[in-house]
Amino acid sequence: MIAYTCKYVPAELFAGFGETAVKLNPTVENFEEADRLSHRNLCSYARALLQTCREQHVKNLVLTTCCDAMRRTGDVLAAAQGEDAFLFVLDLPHADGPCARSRYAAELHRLVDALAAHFGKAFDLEACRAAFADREALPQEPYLALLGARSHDALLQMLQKELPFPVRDLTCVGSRLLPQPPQTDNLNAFLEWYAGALLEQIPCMRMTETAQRRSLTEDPQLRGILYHTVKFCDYYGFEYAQLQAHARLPMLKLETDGTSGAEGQLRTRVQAFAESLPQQKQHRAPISFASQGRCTAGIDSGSTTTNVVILDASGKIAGSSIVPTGARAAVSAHNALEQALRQANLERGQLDEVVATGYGRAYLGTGGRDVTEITCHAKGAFYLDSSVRTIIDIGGQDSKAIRLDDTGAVKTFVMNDKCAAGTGRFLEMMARVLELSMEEMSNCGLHWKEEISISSMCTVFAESEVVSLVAQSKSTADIVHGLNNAVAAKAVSLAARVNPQERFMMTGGVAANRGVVKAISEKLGAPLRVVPEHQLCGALGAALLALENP
Amino acid sequence: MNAAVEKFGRIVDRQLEQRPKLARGLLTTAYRLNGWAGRHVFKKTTPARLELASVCNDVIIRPFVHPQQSVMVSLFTPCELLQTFGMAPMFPEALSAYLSGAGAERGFIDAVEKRGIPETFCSYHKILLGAAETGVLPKPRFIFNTTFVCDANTLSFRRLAKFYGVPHFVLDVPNGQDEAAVTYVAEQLRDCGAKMSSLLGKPLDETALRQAVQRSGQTLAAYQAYLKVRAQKSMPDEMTSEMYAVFALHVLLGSPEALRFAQGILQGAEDAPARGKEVRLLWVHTLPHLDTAMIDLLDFNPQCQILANDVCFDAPAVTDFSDPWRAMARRLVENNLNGPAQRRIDAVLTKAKELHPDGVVWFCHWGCHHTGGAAQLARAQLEAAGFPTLVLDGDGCDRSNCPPGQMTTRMQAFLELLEGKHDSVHL
Ligand code: SF4
Ligand code: SF4
Repeated sequence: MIAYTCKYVPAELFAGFGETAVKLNPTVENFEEADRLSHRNLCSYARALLQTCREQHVKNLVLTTCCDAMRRTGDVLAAAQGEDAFLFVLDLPHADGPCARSRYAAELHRLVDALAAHFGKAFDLEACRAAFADREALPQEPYLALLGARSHDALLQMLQKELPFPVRDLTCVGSRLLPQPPQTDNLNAFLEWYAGALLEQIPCMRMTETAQRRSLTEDPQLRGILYHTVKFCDYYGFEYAQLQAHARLPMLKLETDGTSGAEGQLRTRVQAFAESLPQQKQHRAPISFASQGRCTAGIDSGSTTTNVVILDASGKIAGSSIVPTGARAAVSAHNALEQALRQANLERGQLDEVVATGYGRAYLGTGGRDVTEITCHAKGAFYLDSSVRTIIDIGGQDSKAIRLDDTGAVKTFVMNDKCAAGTGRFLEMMARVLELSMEEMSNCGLHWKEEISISSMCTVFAESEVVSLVAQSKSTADIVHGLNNAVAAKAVSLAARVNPQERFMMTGGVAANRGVVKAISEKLGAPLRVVPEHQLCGALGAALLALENP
Repeated sequence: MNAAVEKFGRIVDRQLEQRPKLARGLLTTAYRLNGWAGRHVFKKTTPARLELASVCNDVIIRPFVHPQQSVMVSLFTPCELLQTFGMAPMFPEALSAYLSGAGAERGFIDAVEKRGIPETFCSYHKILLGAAETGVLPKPRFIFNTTFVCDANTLSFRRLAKFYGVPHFVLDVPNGQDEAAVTYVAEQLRDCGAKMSSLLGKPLDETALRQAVQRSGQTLAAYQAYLKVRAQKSMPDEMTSEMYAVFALHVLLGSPEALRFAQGILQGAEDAPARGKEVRLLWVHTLPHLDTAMIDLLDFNPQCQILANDVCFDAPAVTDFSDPWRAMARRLVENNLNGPAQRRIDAVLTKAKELHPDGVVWFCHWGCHHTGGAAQLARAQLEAAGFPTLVLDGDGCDRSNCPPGQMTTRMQAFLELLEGKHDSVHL
């Protein structure tokens, strides 16, 4: 068995030595060994690879000089692996001209020689040629493409499961496609051809010439794009930025960090994307409240609060509640629902349908459907004000920007990454440092005098920055204003990624903070509407969905 | 940061997206003033370094004022070719260092992150992209870069060539150090030369090119000679000087100014007093020369001096320039930073044995996988050879990646360790 990592590796060649080729796309529990040997800022694929190679004693590995991270991984492994291991780094050209091909052919030759010496075997060209798979015919049915950087297998499986169309893996390594080799028994001629065939694949982003990548997004059968990036890998972030600027198809960015930890959040994004795909929505009947005659509830189980909205038979809000989410989401949901039912003067049995949303949505056990908070927020906000086109939602632990079309359907959305930067949690922690209540913080930032910039958005670093500002006797109002600006900058840059359009609405708990709202509105250069129900928007959307789709 | 600079940075920031030309004007004026002040007011460093600072200042202003005569390059691009065509280079490290020197980095970084460029990307390149895409940095005549050392080159220059709609030349530099690699690069250089000549409508003057390449060899040789002398001398200086030296020994190589600089500091070293009891550091990679706390620790500190920076002794002083194309190609292919990390580590080790530093600082600039990825490998080997080594995380131009306290506390603890104030420190 010989492991490899990159589509430019001549994996078929291994069969010429009687070895099977295994593509490595691991996820790991932690990066302990990788960080000990290298650096935290290496891309998480490279770190996961390092960790796996060390943990599982991967013996035979062929890498390419794909990128700085891979080069360093090769160096570190070369120093760490034992004598009996086989580690080979192919020097992959960036170009694809005749000179580059000859260089790469020479590299392949070097590999053949090294493998022959390592395994003590001669190279069997016939066996190698037989290992070339037939090219698959392109599917003639609608599909979604997974583009960008290599994805691990679990992600691909999750996508296949959650999405309404088949997903084709066209990531850098997934899109490996070679033609059948020529009939020759001349090794040099074969390797020249092989090098050419490898370099002629759809180029990955590290190649100098990438125009051919356009074919990946121009297929008429393509219905949407899932764009995968790897934390600390910059190659594909660049392509994503470019595609996003000219997006023609629905597109969702997914970033992974080499661990399986963020599954829940990824799934939420994928489900929301599925909900927003055009085909899905056609089945949905438009809302016509008067004729429904049903009572419904929406439960939004968030990380900080659990919110409920009950709609009565005429489609009006009859009851609502906001309770803190305790250790068990289901218990808080139950309490919140009871409270709202009391307010609406209804019994649980009178509810025709309950839809759950939010992080805890899958665990509430209400027996009803669950829908992502993206779709729900959009629904709720559009119901409250149908002129809204862009929603900025900042909650306790995450923030989102959602863009709507004229019918209120989600056109595109982005979510922040895992850390608390720019969320309600961030503000709460800073308020604690400043010894302010959230209420005080909301007002205090409006009366600032001196402009202070908080440069770090990482909660830990920002905290020490605030402490040092306090030590410099800066006024609390000025510091709070600086913090508001920092949160606003983060929100506005999130919004910028959905190609925002007026009119703007802000939802979520942080919308109660007047200083932040003002700062965001200034940075947007446009008014930002905040409705009294800002915190209930998700729950309202869920209740509306329950009404809409019995 | 100095309050006036902070204020200036904020004023520039506000103009970025709406009035980029005004921001450009403000910056150019500030750099002109800085150049003047450098020549007439701050005369703390040696004459050779002062002159270089002034040359670098002009290099920065040029692309803002005469964009059509400027070419955007990467730090390792051999620029002798451009000199023969009378074109001036501009490059991310200098531009970003200057923009953050003016306190104006934040706005540029925000501008590109807003456009979807990953936050984790190298900040030198983020600032360059920001300056370009906000319209503050005008369109250069063309772009010429290598794929060498850092992935950021491949990404930003490709994006910028598209953004500006200008011709783009790329030198693909292989990892290996064989003659075939030299030929591969030399062929590409020759091809670029011919294409530039027809683009600019000027014939390529091979004699001038040979002279420039010869000067490059002399400059690098003089610098190597300087380091030999430096090993025995005491020469407190500022971190900025080391950054300027990086510019002279790369993008400005081949110019008479760079040669004058190398000869000048050699002379300066010969005249300097003998080494004393100061703590002497060997530095790896770029320097966080804008961080106030680091400045306090390292600038003009007679008790603590930076002897050299490995990005200044990375290139071989090629002596055979009969074929200037091959000479330039060889300089790239055989550069210490090319190929496996072991080559760079070996070079640092060799230099450490020559300079006898008390310690080595391996500086991991934000987003640089190239340097960061090799840090632990290097530390183990350097320490085994008797050179205490600090792996220091930070940023050369974005202050928000130099969390207050973090970077300097580690640096200070390391210095205390070297001064013998601690038996051991776990850094
Ligand atoms: S980005 Fe390209 S070179 Fe890197 S692993 Fe993917 S296919 Fe290979
Ligand atoms: S994910 Fe990106 S940085 Fe990481 S190994 Fe692949 S190309 Fe390199």
